[in-house]
Amino acid sequence: MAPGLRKFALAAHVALSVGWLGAVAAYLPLDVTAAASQDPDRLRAAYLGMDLIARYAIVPLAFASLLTGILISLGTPWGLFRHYWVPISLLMTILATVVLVAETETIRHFAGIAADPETSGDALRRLGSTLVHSVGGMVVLLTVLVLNVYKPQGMTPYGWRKLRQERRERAAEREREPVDEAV
Amino acid sequence: MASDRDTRPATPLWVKLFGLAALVLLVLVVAVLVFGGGPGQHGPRRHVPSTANLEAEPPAAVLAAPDLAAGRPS
Repeated sequence: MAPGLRKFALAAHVALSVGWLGAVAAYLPLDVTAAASQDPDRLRAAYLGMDLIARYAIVPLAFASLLTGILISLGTPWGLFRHYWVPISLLMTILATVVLVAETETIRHFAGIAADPETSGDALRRLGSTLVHSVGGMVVLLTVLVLNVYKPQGMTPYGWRKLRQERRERAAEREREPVDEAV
Repeated sequence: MASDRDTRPATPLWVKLFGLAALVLLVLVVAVLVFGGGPGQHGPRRHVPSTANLEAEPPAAVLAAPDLAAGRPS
C-alpha cells in the first residue's frame, strides 16, 4: 500500500474505531437507565435511544472499523497473521461484532415494546437491559485498543516462516549481485 | 546446526494468558447456555413478559380512568 493511502486508511480506521468506542460510551448510560430506573418515561426514552444508537451508530461503525482494520493489516508489513496481536485483535473485533448484531435484535424488540403507548409501566420495568453485553463489549474494545497501541511482541509460526523466507531471498539476491555486475 | 536466528521463539506469555482467558470465558458461556435454560432462553424472548400477563394488565391510561375501563363516557 502506498504511504499516502496507508496514512489515510489508518486515519479512517482510528476515527471509526474511536467512534465505535464513543457510541458504546453513549449507549451505556441508557442501558444503565434501562436496568435501574423505575420511571416509565425514562425507561421508554432509554429503550428508544438505545435502539437508535445501536442501529445508526454502533453497528455501522463496528463493520467499518472491522473492514478498515483488515485492509490496513493486509497493506502494511504487520500482515494479518504474522504477529499474535493482529489476529487476536481481529478475532476479538469479530466476536464483538457478532454479539452486537445478535444483540441488536433484542434492542429492537425492546424499542418496539417501549414505542407502543399501550405498554404499561410494569411491562417496561420487566423488560430488563443489555448491560452484560454492553459492558462486555466495552471491555473487549478497550482490550483491542490496548493491543493495537502497545503491539506486544510475538511472532506466529506463519510470520516466522515468512520472515525466514524473506531473509533467504534477500541473502540470495546479495549473493547474485556481484555476479550480475561482473557479467 | 541451526543458529539463534533460525530458532522460532516460544509463544509469548501474554498470548498464553489470552488463550486461557478465552477458554475460561468459553466454558462460562457454555455453562450459562446449558444450565441457564439453554439457547432458547438467551435472546430477546427472555426479556418479554408473558402474553397472558400483558393481556391481563390494562394500559396505565385505562387504570387512571376507571370510567374508560368500565366503558362509560367520562
